[in-house]
Amino acid sequence: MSSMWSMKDCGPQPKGSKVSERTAILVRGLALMALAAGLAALLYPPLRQAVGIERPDRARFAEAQQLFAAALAGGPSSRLQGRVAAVGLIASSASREWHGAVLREAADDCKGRGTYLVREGGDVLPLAVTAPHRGADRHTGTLAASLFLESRAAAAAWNSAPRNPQADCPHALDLARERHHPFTAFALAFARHYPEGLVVQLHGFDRELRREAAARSAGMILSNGTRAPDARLLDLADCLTLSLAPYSASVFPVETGELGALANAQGQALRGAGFAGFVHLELSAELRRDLVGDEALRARLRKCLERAAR
Amino acid sequence: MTRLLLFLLLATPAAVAGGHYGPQLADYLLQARFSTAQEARFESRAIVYRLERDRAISFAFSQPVEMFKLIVHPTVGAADRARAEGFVYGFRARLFDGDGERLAQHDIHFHAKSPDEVFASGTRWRFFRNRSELIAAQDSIEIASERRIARIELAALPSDRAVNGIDVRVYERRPILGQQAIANFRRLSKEEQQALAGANAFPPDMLTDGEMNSIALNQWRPVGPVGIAGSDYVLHVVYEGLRPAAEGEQGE
Repeated sequence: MSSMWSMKDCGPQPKGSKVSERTAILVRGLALMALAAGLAALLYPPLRQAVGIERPDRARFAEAQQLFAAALAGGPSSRLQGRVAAVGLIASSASREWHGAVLREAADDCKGRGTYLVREGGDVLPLAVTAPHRGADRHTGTLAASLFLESRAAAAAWNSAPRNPQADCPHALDLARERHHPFTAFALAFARHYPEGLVVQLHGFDRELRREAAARSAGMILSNGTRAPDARLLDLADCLTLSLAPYSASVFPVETGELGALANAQGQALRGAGFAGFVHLELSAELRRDLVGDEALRARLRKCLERAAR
Repeated sequence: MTRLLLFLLLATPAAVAGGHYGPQLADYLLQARFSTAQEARFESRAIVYRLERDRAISFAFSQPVEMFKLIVHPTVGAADRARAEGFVYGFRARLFDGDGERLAQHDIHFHAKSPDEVFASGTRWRFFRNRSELIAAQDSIEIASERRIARIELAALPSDRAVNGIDVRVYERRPILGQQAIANFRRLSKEEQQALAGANAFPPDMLTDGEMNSIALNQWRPVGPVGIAGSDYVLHVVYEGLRPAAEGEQGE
């Protein structure tokens, strides 16, 4: 009598059932993983809200760098028209306050591609003032714009989609974590055009949320994105310490171990490209508020940045 | 012959000691001479205020105090960095109450070791990054008054000719009351609590409320001068760091 059972080793085993069992377990496991991923995408806010965010592939990232390189090279904004569309931006001329180009996405197109200002002229400073968390870090966008307008900085940039979803723009992303975003492409293009320049990234921090007493009492925390503060960073820190006293400027990691921007995407990309002018500048809420309202105080900050950029 | 033997008896260990410790001391002094502030590892930065002889700097406390603290140091030029006899320097402190009445005047003098001796003999040294003058040994003093002090004025006194300048930092006690002191202590990091509780026999997590209160209340807070930087007073940034060779050594 044929039997489905055959003796194998010491115990009876249904013939072929071991393979079927393994396959079934594998299929069930894959199905569960797919279900979990789908649920996570639905329930986990960053995944859900990032759905509408434009994340270029490597080819478009290269196109973005070429666009910004062309913008930094100077000339009328009209010559950029062919390139901007490929990156999803619109180019326009600056207002009467300054001469240059503004590259941004369409007003109703909240895809998070960012806003970029490039100044023309022979006496521009090799300084880029950026704010990847405009909105979430209150006043950093206003400060970036003010510092750009009140100086001869060559460039400025900030986010166009919020860090957290808003009613008028439900999509959200953290530009400081985006390695292949136009915001990073802009920084790299700036670094290539101004290899000795300075890219300052403005951030805001809440002192009450800090772990260390040094960070809680700091008005500013500076980092170059590494654990080795260089001479240029220390020069800037000293200038800010002297110019903005009694607001103190603490240097990461020596004076505080917090907010060092070690994982900052733009900092990492710039260092990878051999650029040594990245500065991560965290400002306390009180200092941001005072800087926005006090032109003289803001001028002292601006002068320190200008000196560091030369 | 006896004298020769005695001389050899005394000279031999001296020669051995010199041969053993001499290169080390020479190395320290060489490090001091050729070290640059750019290369030094620093641990902290602080603002110091330059005292002048013909104009006093005024410091106002957040509330009238019975005691305040001064940390001072003289600065010298490179030519005097190894001056064996050190430097004598002084400053005048005038104390005023809330009505502007002068409470007291103190003329204070210190003797400071040379910058090279500070560098060679200790583990910590202070320096300017972008100034050519060097910092000699630092000193501190706490000044008390029976009547509460609202404001002080500090001015440099005639000092050793080699002294370029005298820098000062002013401190008042943190005005913390009651439970806030304990809350402040608890909010410090473990390392900070350990550092402050260092003199206590128990680790920070075993301190009583009274002990935490005492530690927190004894903290000092820097006080800035009255006026406008650049016109009423001059300020500099001082770096404090570990002497490079000291990082591999034990103890002070």
